[in-house]
Amino acid sequence: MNRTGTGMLGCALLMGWVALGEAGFLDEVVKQGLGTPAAPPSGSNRPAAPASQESGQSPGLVDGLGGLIGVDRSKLDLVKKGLNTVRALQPIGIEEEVAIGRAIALEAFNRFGGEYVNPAMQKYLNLVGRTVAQFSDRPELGYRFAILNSDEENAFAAPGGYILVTRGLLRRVENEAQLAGVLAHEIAHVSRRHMLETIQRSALLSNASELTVSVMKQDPGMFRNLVGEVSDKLFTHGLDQSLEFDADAQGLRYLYMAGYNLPAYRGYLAGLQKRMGQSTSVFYSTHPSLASRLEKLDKELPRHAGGSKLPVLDGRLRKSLSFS
Amino acid sequence: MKRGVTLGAALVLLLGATLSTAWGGGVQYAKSTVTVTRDPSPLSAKVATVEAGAAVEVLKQDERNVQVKLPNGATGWANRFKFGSEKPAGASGGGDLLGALGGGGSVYAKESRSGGSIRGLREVSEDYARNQRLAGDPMASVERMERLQVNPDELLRFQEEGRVGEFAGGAK
Repeated sequence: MNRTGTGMLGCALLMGWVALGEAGFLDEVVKQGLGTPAAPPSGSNRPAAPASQESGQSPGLVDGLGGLIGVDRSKLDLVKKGLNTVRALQPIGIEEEVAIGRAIALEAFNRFGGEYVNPAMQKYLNLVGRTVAQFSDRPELGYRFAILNSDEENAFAAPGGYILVTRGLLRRVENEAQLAGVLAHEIAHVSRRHMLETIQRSALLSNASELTVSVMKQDPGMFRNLVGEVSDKLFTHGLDQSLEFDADAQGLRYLYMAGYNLPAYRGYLAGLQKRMGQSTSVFYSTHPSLASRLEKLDKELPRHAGGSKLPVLDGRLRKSLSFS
Repeated sequence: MKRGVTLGAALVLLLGATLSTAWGGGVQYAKSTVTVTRDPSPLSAKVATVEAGAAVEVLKQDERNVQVKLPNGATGWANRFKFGSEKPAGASGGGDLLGALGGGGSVYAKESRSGGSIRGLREVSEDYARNQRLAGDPMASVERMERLQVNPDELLRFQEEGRVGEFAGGAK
């Protein structure tokens, strides 16, 4: 093995990727020429094991090309390790995302007073939310909105598009643009895969890169632990501050595209800051300081020309939200 | 080593240059399913429906609307925020390329979006609900949340009334 050989292998991989990747040809090469997966043992519920089980991996294109140009085994393993790390960073699939989101929504209903059942208000919430979600980074995801029967002022977003706001929050928003701003922030968490990123970082640490529905079904304990950890993060500790700032900035962008007044959202956060100390919402411990959020928001607002001229719709909010 | 790195960098530059000239200026991709209308208004006569990921040629745009030319030559207007310069993720397949390169691809094969895997995800969350004793009211609430439908016409009327969404800004 020599250094030029490693460089040549890198170039060959790059060219192979470009030329063959879209056609799915590489899969066929691996299946037919470089290693055929063995059938799983009878009664096993694990996926098919690779043929070269002793070495822990089935041979891939790296093995074939490396062998052809004389690159030694240890260097090949390093290249493969890097490739598998990159692969583990690939996004979690939509089915897995919805399964996790569904379980977190169950936890939210359980921890925050259950559902506030009011079909007319829920419909209004969905109309506002879907108006904003149309302009998100993942507009095709089926976003769903519901109300938690809690007087705490808070809102949550679970992967897969499950978005929950408390009765307490709905009592305190002053106009539809403020509500749309809160929903835009939550939609941004989903649309930008903030929770999934967080999960993936912890999944990488515990070597759980194969996060698929079939693995979740086979290992309910792993799924329970995952949902437990994510719920604690979401409901008790909060996401990383950088993700909250990103949700504010991107949410503001969605709000602008959806045509809602932008300073209204700033007004809501400023109101929340004033109410600090008067309420005991976990919101204050799970989010960055409101002063820092307002400071960053003030830098974002001028980027959206005409954002202050868009409607606030206070009358429609009052008409649509009536608490007994 | 330097020779290999230099050659690799040259190939990356060549690839980038090839891809950037493959599409001329003015080509954009639908981020989601988009209705294209004769005039810059969602209530104007429908010209076509553009699927997510489809490419259109942008002829002109204002603050909120864009005039596009479709592959069949027809032209019309749509909301400009529903198009972007990048093809949305998932608009085309590709397989597990990294798996193929590194080996063991079949072990990590992704679930397809078949009915089977949808049933799979329901089972996963229902098992979770049973184990955590959340199978009663919380599960009923999640199912109610999932069942709630919003009619597209109703959504459009809601937006028109509030001058938001498709009717925001100058859209009539």
